[in-house]
Amino acid sequence: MDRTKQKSPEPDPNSLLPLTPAVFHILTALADGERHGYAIMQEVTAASGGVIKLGPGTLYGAIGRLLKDGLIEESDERPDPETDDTRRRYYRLTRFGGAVLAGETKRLGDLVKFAKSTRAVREFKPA
Amino acid sequence: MQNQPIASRIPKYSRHLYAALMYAYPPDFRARFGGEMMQVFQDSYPRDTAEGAVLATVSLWLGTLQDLAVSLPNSWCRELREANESDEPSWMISIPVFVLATIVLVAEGWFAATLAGRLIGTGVPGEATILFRINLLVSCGLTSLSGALAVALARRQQIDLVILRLHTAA
Repeated sequence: MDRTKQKSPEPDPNSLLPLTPAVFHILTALADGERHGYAIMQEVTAASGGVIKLGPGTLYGAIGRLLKDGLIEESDERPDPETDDTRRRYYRLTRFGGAVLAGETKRLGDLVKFAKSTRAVREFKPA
Repeated sequence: MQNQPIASRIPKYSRHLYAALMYAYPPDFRARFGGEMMQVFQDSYPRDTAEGAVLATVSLWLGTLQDLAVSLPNSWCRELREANESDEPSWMISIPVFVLATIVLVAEGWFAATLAGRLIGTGVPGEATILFRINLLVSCGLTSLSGALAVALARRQQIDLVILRLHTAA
């Protein structure tokens, strides 16, 4: 039985917050369209300035959870066997995944806004 | 093919090694994502065979081992939790744990016995080394068996949820 395709009724997007940095980056990488695993890895590394480097095990562990929670789904399209490896599978954000991503982005934005208002951050001058 | 430099064969060895390491993941996870993970590993592999590629290969393997160290316990914990939610029998978890633990412990014991034999020197009688190895094998086998039994009992008593929480907290 393929457990990753089980879907429960959509819960409140805020109930899944906060997201781990890896999951947030994966959802962000899929925000502008579908990608396969290696493209997600490259996008995450580039977007985080090389700070977050996902290995295959961590990436597909997170993808499995995201599929199960209904935040992403597998695309029906398969790569052309002449130009690409048929083992590749493409993933895209679901509507619910988009709502969770938007919720986390707002949460982080509010947090940054609050942090900027604190005296320690206002008085901090980088060397 | 005999004269082929070893550097050019490293990618092939790496692929085989990574494919073997993937057997440490839970079977369901491997069946679902194994092909894609292998593809990603191959995509991450340095393209050229220049000198810089050696460093890139070492870097890739360090990252891969780090990834395995993090993702293996996580995937098995998820498997335990999902198996606990379903009504699969305990042995489906405890037998793979037993086999994996035995392999790791026996390999470690064998390596330790060999290393100890070499460090002590040739003055040690061969029988002593053999007895030492047998002792290690028996103790490793018993340790992994008790570990597997503990997993089976923990599943039955729902204790694995506590272990999961401890793992998450750590």
